[in-house]
Amino acid sequence: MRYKKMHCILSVFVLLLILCGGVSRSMGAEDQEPQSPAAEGNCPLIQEEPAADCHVKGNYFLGYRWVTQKDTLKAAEYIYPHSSVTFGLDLVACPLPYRYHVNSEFLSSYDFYTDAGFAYKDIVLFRDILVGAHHNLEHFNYHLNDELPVIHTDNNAGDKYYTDFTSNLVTLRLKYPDFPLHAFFVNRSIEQEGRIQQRFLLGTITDPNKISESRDIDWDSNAMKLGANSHLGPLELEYAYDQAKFKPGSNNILYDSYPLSSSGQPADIYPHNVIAETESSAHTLKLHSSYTGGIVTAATLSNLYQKNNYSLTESTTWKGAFDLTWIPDPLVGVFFKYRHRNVTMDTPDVATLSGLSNTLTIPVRDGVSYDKDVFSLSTRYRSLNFLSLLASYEFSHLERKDVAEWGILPGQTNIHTINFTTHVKPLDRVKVTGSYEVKMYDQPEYNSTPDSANKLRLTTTYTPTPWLNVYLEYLLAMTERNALHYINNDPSLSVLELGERDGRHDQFLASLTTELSAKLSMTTSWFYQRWDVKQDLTYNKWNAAGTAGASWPEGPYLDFGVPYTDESNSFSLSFHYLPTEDITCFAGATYTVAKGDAGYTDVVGGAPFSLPSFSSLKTSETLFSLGITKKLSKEWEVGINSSLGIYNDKAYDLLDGYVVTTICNLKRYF
Amino acid sequence: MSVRGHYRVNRSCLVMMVLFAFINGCTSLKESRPILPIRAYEKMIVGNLDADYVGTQNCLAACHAHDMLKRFFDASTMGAQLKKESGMPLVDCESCHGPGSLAIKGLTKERVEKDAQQGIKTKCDFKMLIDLKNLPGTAQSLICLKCHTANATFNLHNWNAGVHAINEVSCFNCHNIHAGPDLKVTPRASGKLCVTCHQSAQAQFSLPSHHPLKEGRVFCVDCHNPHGGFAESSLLQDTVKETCVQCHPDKRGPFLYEHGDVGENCTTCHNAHGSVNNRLLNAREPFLCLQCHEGHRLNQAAGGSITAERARALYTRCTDCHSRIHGSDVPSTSGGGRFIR
Repeated sequence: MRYKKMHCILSVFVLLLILCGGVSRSMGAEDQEPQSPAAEGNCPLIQEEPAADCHVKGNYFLGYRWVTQKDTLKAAEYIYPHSSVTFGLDLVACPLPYRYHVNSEFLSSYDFYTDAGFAYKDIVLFRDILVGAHHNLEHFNYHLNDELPVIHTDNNAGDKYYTDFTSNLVTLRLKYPDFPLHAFFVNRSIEQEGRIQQRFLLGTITDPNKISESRDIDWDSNAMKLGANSHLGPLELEYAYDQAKFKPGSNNILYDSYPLSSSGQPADIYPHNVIAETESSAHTLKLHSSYTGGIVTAATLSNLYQKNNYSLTESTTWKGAFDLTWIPDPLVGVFFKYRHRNVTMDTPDVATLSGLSNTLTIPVRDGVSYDKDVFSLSTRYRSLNFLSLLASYEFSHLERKDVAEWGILPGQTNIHTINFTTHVKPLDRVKVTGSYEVKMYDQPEYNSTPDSANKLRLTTTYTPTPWLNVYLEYLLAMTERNALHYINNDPSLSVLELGERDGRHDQFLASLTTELSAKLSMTTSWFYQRWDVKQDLTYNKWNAAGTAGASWPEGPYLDFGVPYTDESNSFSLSFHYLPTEDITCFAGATYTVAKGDAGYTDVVGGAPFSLPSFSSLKTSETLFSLGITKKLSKEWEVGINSSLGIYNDKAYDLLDGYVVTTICNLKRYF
Repeated sequence: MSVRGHYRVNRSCLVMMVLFAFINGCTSLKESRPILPIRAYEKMIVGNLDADYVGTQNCLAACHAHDMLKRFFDASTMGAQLKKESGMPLVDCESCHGPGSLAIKGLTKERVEKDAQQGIKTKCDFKMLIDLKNLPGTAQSLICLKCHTANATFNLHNWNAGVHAINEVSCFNCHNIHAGPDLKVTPRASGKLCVTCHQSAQAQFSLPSHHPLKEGRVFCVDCHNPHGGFAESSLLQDTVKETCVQCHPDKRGPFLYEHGDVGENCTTCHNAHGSVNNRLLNAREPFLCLQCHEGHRLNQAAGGSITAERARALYTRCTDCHSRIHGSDVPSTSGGGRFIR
């Protein structure tokens, strides 16, 4: 896999070299200034084709990145924690009729970005976007900051977890020379490899043993699209065929020894945590009228087939869309949209669980198939140059099939949404947008889905002078829900309707950008977010007779009005300073503090623990960055960028750590 | 439908492509006319009716000969479209700015050269051109669409009824026609461009759990299509799940045991832009799960509360045990789909 990734990177850089070679061959043409006639009075001249004139412009750099870190890697979540050489290339060249561009940055073998393109007239368009990202993952610890015992086994307590992600998006479009007929090919391949923490339950709910162990992954995914489109007078038509496949590699099934379960499943070695190989294919047909004019229509029809090659579960999805735009007058616009989605799940009737000594056949309930239709109608009224009013209504109808076995899911859910939005310019330098939306749900499917939701958003942009910009945004969202649905853990699948839930989301952003002097600019911002929920929760319990299984009809434990809160504040301040023409400085600091609580109560009484203490949140994250670049000459530039990231897990001290990165680059412009 | 069946349909479509090539000879198929012309906007973008067209050379070669914008324009796809034989709409300066004879009235080659020698950039009377900057957003976009509608530009398929068009965000707001050879917004640039309007989205990426947008490894256009699409929020793919599984293919399914139809919308549990909670979760476990599911027993059969050890095991992270919460293909120990195996 490593070889494949390196091969991929090498391929791109070989391509870059070829492109540079192509550019250098055409330099002669670029040196010729166009000899074109100038204006003479107001007498128009005969149109002539302009000569090719695009100099090769760009730069390349070579440098080194030092990385130092301590404790956990949470502060360095997306940083490959080892020092490495860095290099990059930016290039734009247009030796007509050819055009090239390259924009690349290589920070390490696992952290890179390249966007390279080639075009020949408008006949060939090729683009490759290659991205590599390293993601340090948390090693979840079962011990918090107290000494409570925990039923668990960590087989690889000291391991560090990460994934290396590589995405390669290739696009090729070919055009018929004298007619807008295109053939196109798009391929996105994703590779993920690394070591993740596999957590699972070995044992039963009555005698649990929580296991944590390392799992190496080597996943490949490839999604290809092939199609053609054409302009056909009053209509334009496109057909595309999609095919995708996910290969989970060799370590996709784990086997472990399970004890006899309370439901009678014999003790044996069983497979678990299977990462299934999946594949899909789709056909899509698109048709639209001219984009211009007072009436524009667009229609899409698509069929998607998906298959799981491990469990042989299949699904077929039909999708349809229709857009209609009607602008009878610049003052008024009417927009209609319809979306249809039909999903048919084809789930095997039984699943075979093959242990080392036992083979069990277990019935499986059908997956949820459904039909969904969404209609929306929006209108725009531009009464005055400084005022636009928009109103929209959307109706969504979801019809679920075969949900009898699911117990809790309603057969259908309807959602009505009404939105009013206003864009105003009360003064020449002030823009205000206000939006209010109300949603009403009929038979909401999940407890987190409200009966009604109201959302208000206000934004203001104020630019009194070209060197000062102020942006303010406030969002308030409130939700209400009555008659929550809970399902008992018991096989009878009885559903209880009780309790209520209220939610409130506040979000505020203020930012200011200003030029303090001709050489110094400053940007500062404050972002505040708070999410409050108050909800009645239920916990299963042994009934009075001490019988295992159902707690009802006696009823579960109820915890009324449990408050849950997430809150964060993020402050940032940055300066750009140009002390001289050849020196650029940057300094920035970001400080984010987050906290959260859930106010569970002791519904049993006399509990020797505090549920809220298991999942509280109190963290702060600080990032300082400093950079300076100096032009040594017209062609050469040297730069150094350094950053310090500090993560402080104030609640449990489990994720504390810091990271320092310093990049020193020597850049040459050409 | 089987994969083989799809291949059969695919062959049919290849035949269709051949048909396209055949009908290419039909001249009427090259025409492009709106279903219903909108005359008010046409008047806004037609330009000064007293002026004549003077050609690109008189605009670019005279006053803008050494401007970077000329180089980029020449290098663009539109530069290639200057050939009349292409059968495509002629594109030059005046295609967008309107006829320019009045704007350059009185300007001579000698004056331009003399000014250039003195370091002065000769300016034309740009007020005689179309006032592009102050046009309504829909009219601005119409200037671009007049050509792109006849060019099978299918990434604009859902543009007209999309959220940007409805709110009169125009092509000009994102595409600077003079800024680069392809006029396209690069993925990297999208991370800076989109947040000029969507500033709160940028702020969400500063929360402790976030996708690596500010690190330059994920881009707005990985998930969103600013030209509009099938799904809400201008998602790149047809649904939230289809968008997410582009990069998280292990969650694609379908699975033997699906999490109801929750899995169709990843945002039920995750906030893709950022969260204070790990794994971009909307709420911390166990509250996230307890919102919909009854919690495990808190009392013992013999009476009294469960032990602290057991409570810690059951009420810290539900996904410690329910490790296949996005969908499972193996029955659980109870014989159902509890997502634990």
